[in-house]
Amino acid sequence: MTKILVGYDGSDSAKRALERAAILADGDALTLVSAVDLLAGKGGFVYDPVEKEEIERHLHEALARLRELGVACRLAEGIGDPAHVITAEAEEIGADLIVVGTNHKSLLKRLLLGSVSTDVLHRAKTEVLVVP
Amino acid sequence: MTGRARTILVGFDGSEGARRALDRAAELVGYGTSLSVVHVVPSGHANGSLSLEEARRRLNDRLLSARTLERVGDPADELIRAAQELRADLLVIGDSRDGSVRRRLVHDAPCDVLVVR
Repeated sequence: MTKILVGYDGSDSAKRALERAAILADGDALTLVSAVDLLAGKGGFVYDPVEKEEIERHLHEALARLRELGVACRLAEGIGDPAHVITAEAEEIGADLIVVGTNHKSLLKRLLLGSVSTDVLHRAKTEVLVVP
Repeated sequence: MTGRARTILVGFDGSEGARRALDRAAELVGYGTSLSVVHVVPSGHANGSLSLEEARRRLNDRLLSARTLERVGDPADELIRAAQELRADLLVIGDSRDGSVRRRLVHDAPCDVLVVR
């Protein structure tokens, strides 16, 4: 049995990553991970409620797609740096493979913060499949 | 199955990480899949056909064969070019490649990239 974890943010490459993971799942359940990043705000770190809502909408779309494909899935939502959330969850469940898309949704964020896929590669102890 | 065979490409430099990548790619080979192994000799280095010889032997042990290519130049550039030319579906690389090569492959390769630990 292969434990596959998909990092999902609703971007086009994340959608392709989801499709790939569904093929690789081979009847096993996937773990779908999303993260709402923290921003430095007045009085500490906060997250953007609009972004959180958006991510939840993406997750529901992803769940609907997996239902269509007949692939079982469990959800894990985290708050904080997406690469950190993804790799922490991977360790927690003892994942064999992490699947992520290449592009973070926002070009600006990518320029400012670097790419989630690169950070995942850097942190992960498991195999990583990166889908463009 | 669509018309074209699926192509798996492995970047092989003879390192321990590359061996694991090759073994993993060999496991992924199945019906309608073709395997290619590329060794990139960094410009200015001695020729590396020994690496490809080792890759062929390793695959032979599993009763597999692969197309082998040797390129000279920048490893990331050449692997990306090879993936384009062969219309690879998947590029498999080891973990030991230096961070900058890995980063460029992950961002610029025209296909899925599997990084094996």
